Amino acid sequence: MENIYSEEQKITRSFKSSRKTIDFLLSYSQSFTVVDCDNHKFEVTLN
Amino acid sequence: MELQIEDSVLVKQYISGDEKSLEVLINRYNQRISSFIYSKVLDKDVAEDIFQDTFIKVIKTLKRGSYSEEGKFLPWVMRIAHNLIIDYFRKNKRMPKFEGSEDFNIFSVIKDDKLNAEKQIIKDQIDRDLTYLIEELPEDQKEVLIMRIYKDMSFKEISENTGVSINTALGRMRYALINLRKIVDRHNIVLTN
Repeated sequence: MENIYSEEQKITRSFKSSRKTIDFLLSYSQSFTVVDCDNHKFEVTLN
Repeated sequence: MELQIEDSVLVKQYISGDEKSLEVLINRYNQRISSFIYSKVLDKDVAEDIFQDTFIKVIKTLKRGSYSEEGKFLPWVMRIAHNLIIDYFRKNKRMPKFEGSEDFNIFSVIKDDKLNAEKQIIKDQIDRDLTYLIEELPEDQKEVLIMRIYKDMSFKEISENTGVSINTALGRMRYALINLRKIVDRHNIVLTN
């Protein structure tokens, strides 16, 4: 019964975002910088 | 046993410039966050987009230095995801639109599922009676039944909260229902109209 229940959970709910999305986030993170200048914060996205 | 670096440590390392820590955090919670989003939007592409937007906000907040250490990392990310899900539904107004024609009137096939006043009173009475009956159950069975029916928790969550296996939680639920039926039979209680 526990197996049936776990299987059902897997079918109905389990989902993982793809490697592509994670790679995008990691490159976005690397390119995103915050520059502090005279108490003002500037966001820069480097390509 | 493999030691797991705490979220707070990874967050600090990431803020200090260690990009690898972000990857660890994303991989650690990918399934939980993606599944949470997917369970609400029921579309894998949309779920993936919202997951991506969630972490873009996470990245921006952490790099800006606006992240507060008071809360825990996962609940904070879940809250961001939750807000983005609400935004998604607001933007898309997922309510289906339908305009009737001369040949077909939508109101001929849909009905109002609300109970009328009399049925509502009966339902309220049954709900009240049921709470009295539940009070008669042994404590362990009562606990599982309340978590499952009233708090809408899964058996996995119940097992985690009560410290028993899923099988035990399922067994307690089964006995709770059997015992409720016995109490109803013993006292000749009529719960339906």
